[in-house]
Amino acid sequence: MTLNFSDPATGWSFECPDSSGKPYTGGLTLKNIRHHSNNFARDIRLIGIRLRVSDFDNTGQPSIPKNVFVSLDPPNFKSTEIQELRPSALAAPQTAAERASLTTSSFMDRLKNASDKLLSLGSYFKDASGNYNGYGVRADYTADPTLFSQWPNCEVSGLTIGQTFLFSTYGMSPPHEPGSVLMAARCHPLTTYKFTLNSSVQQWSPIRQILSIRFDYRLYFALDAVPNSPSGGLAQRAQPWPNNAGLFRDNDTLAVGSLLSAAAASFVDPALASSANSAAAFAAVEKQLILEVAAPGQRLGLSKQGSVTCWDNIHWWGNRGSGPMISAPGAFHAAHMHWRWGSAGSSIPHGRAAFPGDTSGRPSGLTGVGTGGSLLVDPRIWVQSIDVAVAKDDPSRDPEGYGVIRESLSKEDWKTLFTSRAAADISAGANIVCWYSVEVQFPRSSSQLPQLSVPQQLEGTVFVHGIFFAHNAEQTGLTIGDTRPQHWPRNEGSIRSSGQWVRDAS
Amino acid sequence: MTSTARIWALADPNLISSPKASAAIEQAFRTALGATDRSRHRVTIMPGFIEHEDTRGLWNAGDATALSAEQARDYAVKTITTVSKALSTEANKALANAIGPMQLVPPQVKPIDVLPIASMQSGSWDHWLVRSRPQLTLDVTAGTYADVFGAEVDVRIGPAGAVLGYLSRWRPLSGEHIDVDLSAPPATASNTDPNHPAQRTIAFVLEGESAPQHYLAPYYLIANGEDLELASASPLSLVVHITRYSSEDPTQYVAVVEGGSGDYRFDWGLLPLSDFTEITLAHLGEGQTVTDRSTNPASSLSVVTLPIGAHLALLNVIDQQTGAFQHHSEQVYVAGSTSAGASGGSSS
Repeated sequence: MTLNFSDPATGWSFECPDSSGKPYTGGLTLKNIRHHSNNFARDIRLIGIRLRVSDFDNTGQPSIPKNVFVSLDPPNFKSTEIQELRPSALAAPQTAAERASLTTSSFMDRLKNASDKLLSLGSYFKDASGNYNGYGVRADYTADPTLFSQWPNCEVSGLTIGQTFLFSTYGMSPPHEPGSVLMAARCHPLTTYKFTLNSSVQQWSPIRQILSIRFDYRLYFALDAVPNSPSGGLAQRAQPWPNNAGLFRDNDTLAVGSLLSAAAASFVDPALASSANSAAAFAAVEKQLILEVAAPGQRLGLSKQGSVTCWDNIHWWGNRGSGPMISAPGAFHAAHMHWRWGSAGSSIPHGRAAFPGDTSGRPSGLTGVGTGGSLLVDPRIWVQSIDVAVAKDDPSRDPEGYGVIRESLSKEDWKTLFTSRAAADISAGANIVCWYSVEVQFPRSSSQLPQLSVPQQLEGTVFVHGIFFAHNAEQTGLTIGDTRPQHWPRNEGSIRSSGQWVRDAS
Repeated sequence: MTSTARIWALADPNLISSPKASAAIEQAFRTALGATDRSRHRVTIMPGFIEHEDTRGLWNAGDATALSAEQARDYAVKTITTVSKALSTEANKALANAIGPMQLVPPQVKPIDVLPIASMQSGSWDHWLVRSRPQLTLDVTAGTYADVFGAEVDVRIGPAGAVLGYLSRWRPLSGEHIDVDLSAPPATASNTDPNHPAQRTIAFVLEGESAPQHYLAPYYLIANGEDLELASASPLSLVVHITRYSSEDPTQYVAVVEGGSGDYRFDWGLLPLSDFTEITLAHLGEGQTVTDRSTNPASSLSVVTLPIGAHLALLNVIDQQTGAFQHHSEQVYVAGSTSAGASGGSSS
């Protein structure tokens, strides 16, 4: 069966397969997701969870870690029924008393006279316990006790998982770009976990400890596309639904020279100014992706670790044939997914350099390579590694495909789901799928993660940054971003010739 | 001569949401669109938008390319005109308590985009999407108009010219307005060379579909290296930032306001982003007000301490001198601090 969900207040609609009101298989799956009739995604779901565990003897020496896949299905988990979350309506402050002076005062005078009422958030958010986060669906899962009791002397005895797919109204607040001028609706595919500590663990025996918990998502975006036919002109059909994606790494330091060049160039050629602006904004960019990719998004809470330089965000849009590509920065009809903002883009108000800028997400006091910018994750569990892949839709990777076993879509070494064959060219737009994996790590000693002095929590939520879906026409009248392909430091030719799946932002 | 900027009052949503008024608006809207069959045509009237969908026609329309893009645009423009006339006459009759004739849909729009839209299931071209941007008078003396950023009218036209969908993202205007002096653009936008002005334009800004807002005021939209920024273009156009307050305490956040008199009051709230065990709005009040004398005029700031976690911070701001109002929200990721001497990851 399939449940149909739609919410007039936020404009979102989607379908959700179910079995007697509970998630059908493997947890919540949302299909054919639209916002105000704009196509967003065919299918969004969590593939499953991977637990990495190790036995530590009483000298603190770990055994070789084990990596266990669990899906949100019986017998591993017992689920609740699917719960619909409807947003509370905002109230408008009553201004009847002020209407008495309608004929003699301007509306600004009336606003000023009613300032106490207008200022109070309680005038708009009348029900303090109301859901003002958005529309959505939710299901909660409790792990079967045998999941952990089968493990000898395990430090945890229970695990609860909450899946909440949350959708907001359209607007530019909260901002999803540092400058905060982009209208979009938010989609948060949240997964919350909470371990229960085992109160009867025996300290003198080897203890099985949780090293990490990993959540593997499949996000099959499908934004409206307008492809050309091979001979030019509009294609006969929008199949195979060509979408494009791009990866970006923000700058952490403002390249003043680049910005001056951008301003100067604007007097010569606005296109040059755009290009220079983009160069100042991005430390690395692959717009559009030339080949399929499996890429690092964050390593142990850092944006650069060792030789690995991570990407900060991915943007996704419908192919426009011979029309202009989306602007970057900008992207007014695209899905935006940022898990870090670079320091150069943080929104310090003009002339207020006294403020430290937004370096949130990680504990303050961290210094060193990879600690810049703002990390947009649950700060309780900031030590996490994020990976993202963009791959062509493939029946062997379709969770509903014939003979496909769910566990086969969550490899112990995540990237090997993709890298067994050559990376295909997707530069002209293709029927592509986004794969997103986040692993929350629980470092056990400072030797594993020197900067860690704030302990990781055994509960938290992943994917809080969400996805912002903008569906406006591109802005006109201003030079905003660059609508041309952008590839650096690797150029298009070197990406193509290398044939590499795994490409970081260096 | 000083340029002026028109400030447009938004209608009281309570007037529109009364059963009598909303029924009249819906009836006029349905009639204008020929969408009177309630089993087929869904109509939604919200404070931030009016929407229609032909639930049987949309995604089952046939071959949209039987119509050209130009024909689709002409159908859309005609539809927008028809809806505008119907709502400004028929629906206004029911709004007896209104201050003046309300503009329930934008009085003037310009088409900016025509796209064929395909069905996700079949891939066939289902309909045309015609997107238009509303405009309003900015300076009545100079006869200038400005776009309304955040507002849009989307009309979906089927192969035979039928309207399959209509979305007017807009808030009704009350019929009142005042004219104020246009503020000078900021001397230096962040990240730009002061000798070379940043590229900018002026637009009215319509907030999100459910954000508290009482009037439309103009702002400078400035393109800088990272993206677009807003700057105040009138004494009633407030720009609010929420940012970290100090390096020492990562849980302290500050609200900074630009564009007004400097004499502000605040009201803070917090919604959970990462913990849904209790979805409650935490009311934080006005925060600690401090005066920033580094600006001219001096400006009130509000500082609050937030709990560790990911939240949606909500903020209302009022300018005590002018009555100017601004609502703002921001996702905040409040972390703790490390012990002294902690250092970052491996160097490279």
